[in-house]
Amino acid sequence: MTTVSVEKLINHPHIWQGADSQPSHTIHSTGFKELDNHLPGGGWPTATLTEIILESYGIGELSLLMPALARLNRPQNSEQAAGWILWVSPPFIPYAPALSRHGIDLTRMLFVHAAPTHRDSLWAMEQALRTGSCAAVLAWVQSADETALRRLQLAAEEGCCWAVLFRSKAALQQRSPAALRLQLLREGETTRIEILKCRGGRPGVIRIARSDAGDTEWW
Amino acid sequence: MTRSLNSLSLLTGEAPSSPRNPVFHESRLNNLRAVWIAVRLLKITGDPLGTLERCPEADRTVLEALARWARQFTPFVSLAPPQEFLMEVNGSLKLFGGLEVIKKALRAEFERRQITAYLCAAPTALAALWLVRHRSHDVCLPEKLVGSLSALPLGVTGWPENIQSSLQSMGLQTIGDCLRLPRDGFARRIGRQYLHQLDQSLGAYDSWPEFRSPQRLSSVLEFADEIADPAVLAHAGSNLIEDLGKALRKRQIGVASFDIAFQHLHRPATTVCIKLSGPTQDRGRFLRLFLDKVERVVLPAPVIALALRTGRVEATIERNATLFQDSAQPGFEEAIDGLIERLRGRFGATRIHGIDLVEEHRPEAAWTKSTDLLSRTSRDALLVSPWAHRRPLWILPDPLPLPVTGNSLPRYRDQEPLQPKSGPERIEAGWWSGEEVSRDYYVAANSNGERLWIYRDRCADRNWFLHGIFG
Repeated sequence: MTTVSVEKLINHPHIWQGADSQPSHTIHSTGFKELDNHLPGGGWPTATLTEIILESYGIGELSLLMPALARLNRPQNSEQAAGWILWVSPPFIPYAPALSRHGIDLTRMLFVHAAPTHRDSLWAMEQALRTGSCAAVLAWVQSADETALRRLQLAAEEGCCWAVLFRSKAALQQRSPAALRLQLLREGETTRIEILKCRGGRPGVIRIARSDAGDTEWW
Repeated sequence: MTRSLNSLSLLTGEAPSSPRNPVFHESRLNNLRAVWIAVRLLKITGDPLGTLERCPEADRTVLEALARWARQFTPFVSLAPPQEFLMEVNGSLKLFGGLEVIKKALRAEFERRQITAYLCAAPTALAALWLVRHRSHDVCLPEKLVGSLSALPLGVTGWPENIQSSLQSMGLQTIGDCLRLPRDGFARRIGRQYLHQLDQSLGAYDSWPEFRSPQRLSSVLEFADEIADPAVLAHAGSNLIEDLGKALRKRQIGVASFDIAFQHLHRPATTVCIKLSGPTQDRGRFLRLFLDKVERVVLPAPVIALALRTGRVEATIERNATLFQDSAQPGFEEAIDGLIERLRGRFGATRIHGIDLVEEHRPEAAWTKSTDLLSRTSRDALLVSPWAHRRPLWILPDPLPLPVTGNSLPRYRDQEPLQPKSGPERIEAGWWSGEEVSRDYYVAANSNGERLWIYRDRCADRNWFLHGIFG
């Protein structure tokens, strides 16, 4: 049996060290306790790329982000500037009264509607991330190769901006450099969140109850 | 590559007055010898029937052209946009042979340009402006000023609606009524600035910004040979922009737009227009926008020269530069400014927008696109309608008709009929504007787990529509 010095072991490239994970200041609470408990640092890692994979719209994909977006957009202390949120090629029109109810400041919203191609959407997203002028960039892009995703991940780190990319199920076949990768599914009255990849954390499945959709009392 | 014209040449105009020390015309009560002519243009787009819609930019161009022309009579002309301008002609009366001669010359010019306009002269600028709005006669003698102004209705002042209506509710109909009120009470109840305006109209003081004709810069970079390589062209364009930045900085002025024309032999030039969100002298912003454009411009032929021409030059106040290059971190708002410019440059202004709430019962009309993105300040109080908790986060641009079989609920992307979750919420509105809606809204789900906002039209065929998605 050969003896290996500790130092050599520490410097071994195959050994991942948990200590140098995300700096804590870029974590924002998701607003959902179950999800916060599962994610490293207790919230969305916001200076990174988050990939959300879903098959159909209308399963609570936006309301999942709303608490964090509202907090980024309307900061608690007065020193922080109100963050802009850029929406790139959303599939429908984000409805102003509902956004406003979730506490979003509508004057800090910016929309790029119907960018002609996927490349244009990715370009807009990358520019917005790199300048660091937005607090969050949400984009709906169907096809993006690994290089494009890596560029987005790097741009998000550079601009310290939260990039959220919504993609269809076809993206499951692809490798992704995103720091967080989720798949959303609907299970009865709950939304099932499968954490496929999570930097500094572990995969898992979480169910959160839907609070929207008017199931609660009406009058 | 050779430079045919060295550095940027001045095309037209004169230096704009700096916002720190604008040029004003000053006259005092004890020296009431000014003679102001106010000109109010009525139909200024040049259509004889007055059917065209008014366009503020076109109006401004006409107004400025007239103001430039009017400067042959006086050194002092002031614009009162959108449709009025003022000229002080006291010093010119003797030379041109009196007020009537000048007015006649003005009228002849308006006729030539097919413009309907009214003129009025008075000893103070504001009085002239108010009188011309009421189409009154000239007031030549200062002692008659109070009498003439007193008869004018309050509408001529252009004060805000709420001020005018509160004055009218106090029984005040004319400017004379206001002049008779106690000064301190008027200042307290109505506002000090309106009292100041009354004083100004009577000549207590008079200060008006001088109109100066806009200035443009231009420069041409000619090549020794035809060039087709986009990288070389981008580099040459960058040099032009570099020079533009330096010239602007030297003069402490900024531009909000410029064109770069790629000139070809025996062909019309290809022009790229670059628009910024406001006047600036920031070379970096010019350059980024230019490179974005140049990347995607299609040149039909090699290029023999590049010509740069700026839009109107405006005085700007730039931020203090930092001593150390690397600490020059732009502010948050400036960065978003730059981003909006670049997105607009690439996708066109109509695809970039913000949203806002509208107080309206019809769901599709309860929001609006807003293009004015930066001047809006964030609201402190949330303006939330009491129904907002029943509204979906996604709304469809046009309601989507849903197929129905038999007497059940409709289907959407599914074999099974939708399951109702809650409802109905009845919305009946819009009959007063001819866009009547009468609908019963339900929240429904399909077996895929999609949560939908659907309605049944209560008017015509009682059809079902999908209007929103609970994202």
